[in-house]
Amino acid sequence: MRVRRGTWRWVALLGTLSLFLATGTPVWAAEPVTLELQAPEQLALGDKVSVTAMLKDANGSPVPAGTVILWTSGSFLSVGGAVQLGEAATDAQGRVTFTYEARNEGAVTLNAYFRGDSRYGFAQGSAAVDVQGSAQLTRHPIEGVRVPGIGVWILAAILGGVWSTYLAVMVFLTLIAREGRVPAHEALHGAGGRRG
Amino acid sequence: MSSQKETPGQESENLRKWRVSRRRLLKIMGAAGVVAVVAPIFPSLVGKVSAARTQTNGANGAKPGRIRQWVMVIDLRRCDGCQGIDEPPQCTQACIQGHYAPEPMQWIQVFEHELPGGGTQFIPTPCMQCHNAPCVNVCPVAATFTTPEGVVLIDQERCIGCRLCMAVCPYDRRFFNWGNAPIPPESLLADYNPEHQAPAKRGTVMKCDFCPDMARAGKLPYCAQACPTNAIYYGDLEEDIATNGEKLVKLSHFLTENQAYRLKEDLGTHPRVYYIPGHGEAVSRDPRRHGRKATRWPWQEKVEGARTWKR
Amino acid sequence: MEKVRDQRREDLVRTVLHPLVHTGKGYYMVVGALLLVVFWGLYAYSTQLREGLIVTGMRDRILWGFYIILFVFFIGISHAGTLISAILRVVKAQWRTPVTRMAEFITVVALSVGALMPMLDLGRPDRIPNLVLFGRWQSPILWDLLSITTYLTGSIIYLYLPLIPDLALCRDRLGTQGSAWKRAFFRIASVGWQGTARQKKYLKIAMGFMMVIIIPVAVSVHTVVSWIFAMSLREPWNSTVFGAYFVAGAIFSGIATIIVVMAILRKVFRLEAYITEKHFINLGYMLGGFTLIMMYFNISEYVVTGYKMAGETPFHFTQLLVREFAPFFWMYTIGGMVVPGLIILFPWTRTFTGVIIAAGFAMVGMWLERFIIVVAGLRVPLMPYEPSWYIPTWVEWSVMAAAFAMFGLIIAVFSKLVPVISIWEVAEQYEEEEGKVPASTEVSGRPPMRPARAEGAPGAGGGGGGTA
Repeated sequence: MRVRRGTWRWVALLGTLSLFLATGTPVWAAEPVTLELQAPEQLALGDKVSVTAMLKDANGSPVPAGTVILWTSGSFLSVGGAVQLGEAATDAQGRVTFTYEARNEGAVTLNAYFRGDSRYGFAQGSAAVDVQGSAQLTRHPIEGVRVPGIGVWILAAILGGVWSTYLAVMVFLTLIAREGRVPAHEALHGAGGRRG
Repeated sequence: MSSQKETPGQESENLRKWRVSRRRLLKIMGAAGVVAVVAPIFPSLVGKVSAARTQTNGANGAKPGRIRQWVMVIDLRRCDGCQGIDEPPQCTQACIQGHYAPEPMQWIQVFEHELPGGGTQFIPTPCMQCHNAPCVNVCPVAATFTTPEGVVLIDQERCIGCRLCMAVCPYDRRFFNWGNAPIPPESLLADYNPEHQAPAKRGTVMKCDFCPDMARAGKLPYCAQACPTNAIYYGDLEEDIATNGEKLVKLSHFLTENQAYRLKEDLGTHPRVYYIPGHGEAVSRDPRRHGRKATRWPWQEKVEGARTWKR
Repeated sequence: MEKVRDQRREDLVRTVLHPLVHTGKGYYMVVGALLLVVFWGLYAYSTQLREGLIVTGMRDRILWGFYIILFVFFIGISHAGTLISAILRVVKAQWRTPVTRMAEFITVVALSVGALMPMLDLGRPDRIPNLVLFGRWQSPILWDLLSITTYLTGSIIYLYLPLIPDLALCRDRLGTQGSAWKRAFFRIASVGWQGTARQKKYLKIAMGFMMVIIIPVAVSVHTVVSWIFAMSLREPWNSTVFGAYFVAGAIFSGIATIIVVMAILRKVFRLEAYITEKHFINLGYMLGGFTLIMMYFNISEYVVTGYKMAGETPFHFTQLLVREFAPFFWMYTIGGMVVPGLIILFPWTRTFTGVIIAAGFAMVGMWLERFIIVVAGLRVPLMPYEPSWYIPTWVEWSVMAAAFAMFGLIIAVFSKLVPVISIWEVAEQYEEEEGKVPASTEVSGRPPMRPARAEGAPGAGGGGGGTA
């Protein structure tokens, strides 16, 4: 239900706007304007490019301070509809520049529209972009401590050092045991009798 | 001593045998000791420590080859703690019912936080799915792990219950099954999976699993589905998109435009849950109206021998 | 002259070996009582196994309790032994000889008991093998596992090496007096020690290795134990000083434990002639020194965080200094550090009794310190919720009692198995005192001590012990 609601809102908005254009002049005397959108045609996935929209009036003079919205359509988790990519006002040259980052491969249509204001009417423009590529853009984290240059080898080295010392001590223990048996046996001879 | 009665020659013979066998024993014991003690680092040395049960990969997403990176954005401007409908927070309720979460566990919990100018805001808090997750770092057996999709999960079939992960979690988002969990009997029929941790297992840790299995099936997590004001957005960092079920937003644009922040950002845990500051103003909540309804665990019937505990 | 010397050594041997073959009724009563407590603890633990950790007072917010406190406490005590005996050996302190054996043994016992504690704390003790199957080297738990097993092995070796000559002495002197298995134990464990010059050389080298390696191993153990806490982002634990703080606390509580245990064994086994009040005073000086070090660490820790009052520090300081934990905190700081420090400071209180009282205060204080670190540290709320509370249940009290009983029990059993004083080292010290170059005959268990005398000697209610 909610999904539909969202989609319908945009369909209704766009429908009204196209009706607006089709009938030509609005009821009130708004000056007609044009919105031209320029974007590179070919992009690789992950490219960040500038997308420029020019807002001009009928005479071709720039329209400053007009709010332009950049959007594209998308779908995610069974929700489809318009995705707003940016919103900014035109400068003195009637230009507004957005940064578009291609995060979705395939054919993408970028749309821009100017809603109109008290003086100017509605305008829109679009540009087709083809995005190629399949590279992963965000890296997933690797769990665990990641201190540069430190690894499990440091633990292995410490443990190895301590345990080889233990082993060395054990070797001395066997030496003591051997010493206590072979040569001491002779020495023991005399003492051995006394023991009983 | 038996050797006392033997002649010196025999004694020597016996002693030598005994000495040899003992030396061998010492050697074996020494080697065994070293092996036993150093054994715990073998898995690390051969690089085989990874979670056994990671079912996630990019292949079942829409974009083959690219791996989804799930994130959540919670728009606090739209969260009134369900004061508007006079119910307990619906995100928590739906999560409890969807996951059969046992009694004191609120995997997504709505905290009421004082605002500096008086009044309060409600902060629904799921597991933050930290990029640099302290819990994952300290787990001795990789029972808690990060999936390639960036989700921090717990394998209750490996967890030893040391609770170090709970001690290091700065968001209080981990829950322990202290006893036989008060869960409904039907949860015992659930097919256990770290992405859907039901049924609860005694002596292990549980938490919000971020529902990536539902997202892969094209559904929003329980909490986002149930939110009456659509305050919870679920998204993909990789495709830079998110939705609250009502509309789509360009994630990066949405976060930037709305001054999004993350909880305890200064700790450097890099959570994957973002917040847009607010106190329910978009759904006409009066910030000076305090309190929310208490969370309910709705089951009439609980598994045998279950006991409830408090956090 | 020669005779006097022999007599002195003979008395030593008699007194120390006496408990190995003569056991009184009191001993069995004590062991029985301790066993009873241990079994009660086992019953309590079986309840926990059956019902889960729900039978304890721990919950999600204060998720560690007595078990982890006791873990830190016992591992701390274990430092006493080895570290003190190793340091005293390395610096060749003359008065150490009657003390080291007990210190080393306390280490092994405390370590064994302490290492058990985290296992009791586990929600799934049946999955301990997972630590080996899936161990992650980045986890502080694994560091603990590795360092404690390494330390335990090391301290057993370190306890065993200086035991060899004494075990040989027992083998030779006790003759038919002990039971068969005891004689077999002495025969095997003394690895054919005859006291030859070469054996002595080997033993000396081996002990040289061990007393050097055991010091860093011991330091690493308690550092790693502290990292269980310090590797978290919780306000009261997030501290770089924790490692050193824990090591100092460990040695401090260890010295206190040695003093207390030594006083008990001395009384029970009538060792007054060998463990003199001078030894207690000397250990008292060490205790006093460590009260200063502990105070310094507390000042470093609390002044630095308290000055800034960042984050949740105001909450933590309030609960510590004036609220819920205030009795424990002040018991710890005043009772556990200032009082023992003052007792040692003043000559008129620095007596045998004074030192034991100071040690008792220090032990209780250090237990409270661990309680404060674990429970108060966990109580600081992480999110906007009401701080919870920890009330240990009968299960935890029982297990704690059983842990202490086990500590006493193993010491009691051990004291019947091997000499509690390192006879040959004391004898060696006599040689030095008497200005004689150690001859090849001295402590190997051969003449001048004749078996016939050993047999008759220890009877007569410790007449050989000499309370003089």
